[in-house]
Amino acid sequence: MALPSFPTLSDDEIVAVARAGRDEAWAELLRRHHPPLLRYLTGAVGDPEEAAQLAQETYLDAFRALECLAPGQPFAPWLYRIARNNVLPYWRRRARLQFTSLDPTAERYRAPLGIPDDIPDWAAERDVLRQVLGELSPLLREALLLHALAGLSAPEVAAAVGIAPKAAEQRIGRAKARFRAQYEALSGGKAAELWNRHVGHPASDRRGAGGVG
Amino acid sequence: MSATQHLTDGELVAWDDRSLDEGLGRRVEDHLAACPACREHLADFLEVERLLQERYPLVDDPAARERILERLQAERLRSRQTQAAEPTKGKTSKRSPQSR
Repeated sequence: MALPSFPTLSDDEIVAVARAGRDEAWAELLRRHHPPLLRYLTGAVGDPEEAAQLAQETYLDAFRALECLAPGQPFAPWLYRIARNNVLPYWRRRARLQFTSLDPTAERYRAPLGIPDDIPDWAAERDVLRQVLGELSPLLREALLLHALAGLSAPEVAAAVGIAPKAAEQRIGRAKARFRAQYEALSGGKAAELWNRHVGHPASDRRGAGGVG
Repeated sequence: MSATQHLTDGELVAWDDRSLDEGLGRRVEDHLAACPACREHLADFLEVERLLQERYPLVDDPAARERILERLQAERLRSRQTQAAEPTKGKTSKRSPQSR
């Protein structure tokens, strides 16, 4: 039998080939889904190495659980549901470490609240971003990152986190509104200046997303 | 949604996702055309996305994909070996009804 031309196949078709034990199918699934998964995980945990490790664990879990993916069930939300099972415990561990630490110097390991003037703007902005993400509740943070970084649509986010599509729309919207407000509140004029610098950039690269016109 | 009511956060997300039906989508567009506050809110939403996407760019890492693929292949091999060993193992290790 001739090898199927993987790039032309849908995720469903590739998953069917993967079920038959063909590693080329997994290579194609990785080619399609690893970059956005890694991006999502990097945003979620902040550390690229930790994100790469979580991505690997997510694929191993998906590989072992492939039989649980129902025929016709979309692969991407299912993959992110598995990723979620790795990210949420990570967040819980981190939160426990911060709350239980009695070492006053532990504060230095957290993102700074203020922005020193002597570091480049890009670094300051990154700190603010992490701080703002950290201020969001885990559920809002998760919905925002799945939508903005993984490129999932609201119905896909809904499938990934196990809620109704309308609830996902509301959660993503609330997360964006909260993020915007926190971003300004945490760093005042500096953030507003950085924020305004972004106005007018090309449209979002999320799947199916479009600009205002 | 009405002409006097602002769009909800969820409606803005759904519109941006192109997931509204044609009628509702058109009503959202009509509202946006007439409401500067909602246009600004939508622009804020798009900026949040753009800010995150620019800070966390999409990066392909073929070496990392290759390492994961090797792990999956090793996992498949291990799984096949386990399955091949199972019939014999099943006969020898089957517990009696009395065993705990």
